[in-house]
Amino acid sequence: MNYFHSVRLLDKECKGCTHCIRTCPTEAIRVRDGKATIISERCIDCGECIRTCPNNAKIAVTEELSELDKFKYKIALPAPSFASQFSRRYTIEKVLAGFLFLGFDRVLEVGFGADLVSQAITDYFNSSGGRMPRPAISSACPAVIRLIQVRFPGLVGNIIPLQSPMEITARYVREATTRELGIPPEEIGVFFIAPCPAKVTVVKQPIGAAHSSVNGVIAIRDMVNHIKTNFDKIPPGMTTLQSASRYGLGWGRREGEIDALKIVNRLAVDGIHQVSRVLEKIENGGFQNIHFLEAQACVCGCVGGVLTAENPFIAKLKLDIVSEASGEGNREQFARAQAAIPQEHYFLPEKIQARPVISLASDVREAMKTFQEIEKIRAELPGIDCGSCGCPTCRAFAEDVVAGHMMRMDCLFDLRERVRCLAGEIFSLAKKLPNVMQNKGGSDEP
Amino acid sequence: MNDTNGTQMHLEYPVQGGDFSSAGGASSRIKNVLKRLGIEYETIKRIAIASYESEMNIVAYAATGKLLVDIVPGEISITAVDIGPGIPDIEQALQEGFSTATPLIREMGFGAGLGLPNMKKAADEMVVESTVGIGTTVKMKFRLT
Repeated sequence: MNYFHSVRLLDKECKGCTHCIRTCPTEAIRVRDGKATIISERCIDCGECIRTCPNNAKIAVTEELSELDKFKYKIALPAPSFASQFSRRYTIEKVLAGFLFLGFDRVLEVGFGADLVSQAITDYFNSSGGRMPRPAISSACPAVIRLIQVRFPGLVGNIIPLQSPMEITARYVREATTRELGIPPEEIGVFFIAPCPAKVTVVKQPIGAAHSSVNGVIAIRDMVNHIKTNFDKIPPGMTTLQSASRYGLGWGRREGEIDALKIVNRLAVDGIHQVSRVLEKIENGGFQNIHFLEAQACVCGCVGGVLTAENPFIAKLKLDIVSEASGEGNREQFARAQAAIPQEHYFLPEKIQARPVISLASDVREAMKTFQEIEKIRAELPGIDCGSCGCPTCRAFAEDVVAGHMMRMDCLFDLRERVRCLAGEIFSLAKKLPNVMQNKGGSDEP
Repeated sequence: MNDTNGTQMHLEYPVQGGDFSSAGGASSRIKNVLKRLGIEYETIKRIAIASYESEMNIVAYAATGKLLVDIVPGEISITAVDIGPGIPDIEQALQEGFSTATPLIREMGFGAGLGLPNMKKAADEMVVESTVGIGTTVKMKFRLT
């Protein structure tokens, strides 16, 4: 299978510095021939490498505003975290009107969809979902879902099989537009304004579904720039555009989901490495008292995504203030949408599959053989995970040697030891003189 | 310590009694080895629970110990060996809710009396041998399908 990735490497910017290989949660990066390379089947598009790279050699591919021209009717779906990027001067109503000024025909906050999904999760939980393995894990963060598929395949059954607020909003608004205005679905372009590359990837290659209702993904920071530069030219909207409640908007930050759900024993964890540690514990049989786990790859939640512009902590604070002010949201519109969306639309049409990439061979016996070869090499390595060989750990290096990607001497310590031995040999050779030139002692004189 | 022909494997992981801060490390390593070997998730899940509980028992009650992993065709066994106080009444220890945990152990979030029962539930076979004042050995077997 070919995997689409939003996260890419700019070869000419990469200095081969190895910063990224250590922060990657799935050990998906190696530095070979002086350049980083991403192992496609391991990459979960979390964007940690984008954060870490000191040379800006890692990027996330998103769409430009010019993509809008491909469609007759354009709809903008700003993520809940979008509202966190503005200071008080920029009122949310006018910011949303900015989308219409920039060429969109309609704008609907994904926070509105989050309100709908919050209700759907609560309902699911109080019926058949109550029998799910504990803790049930939120399906909202695609980087976390991919982390589970790749590194914690045994936990795919813990993921709540419901669509994300982005998908629910996109499908609802597309169908409503066709219904209300008679515009054929294929002429409608739905654009998600995203905080992270994982969202780009999940639109191009959905998890648990064949296709997405979203046509394109634009980075929050690009949209923020467009709106801020044009802000004084934006005319006030004709109607109220804001529709999400404080709870729906709250989804954009840590604890937003659990605040919105009427489920007991909830827990929120953020930051991909902390999420990994928690998943590790769940595999060991822990966290059984937790019914629902909100797990987000970015620190502070979506407001900390790599495609945002503001500092995550400030952004979270701003979202707290903005969401507080939005109160109940548009209850009338909420009731209308709830009546229009059939229950089955909330469910993922397909089962989420595990994508185990860490097994050494398809056959256990074969894998055992390989494992033992790896262990033999690993035992001889310094074990300090210095990264100089371009592998994230000494164990990963040993695996790569056995797989034939690396040579034993690519370990600097090994090389140094060999050079030292060689130097010693040369030194002792240098002290030796050919037999004929050696002075046997005594007198040479006739 | 590895066998040469690749059809069986033996691994050992030391566990330090009383060391709550690094507890869980041995069972995590075992789990990661099993993932690399491509063992099915359901089995890994059972082994993860059993080895974690065994590790916590050593940490909570024993002076020192180790987890031994033996893989042969069709079967994985996990053996937890410790030097510690031993269990005077094994039947009683296997009952859910029975615990001799001290307030300190409970403070750390353990000692609910579910360790051994959970291990027994997770494993296909379990044998507990113990000598008071010397130590305990718990041998668990997991069949591979």
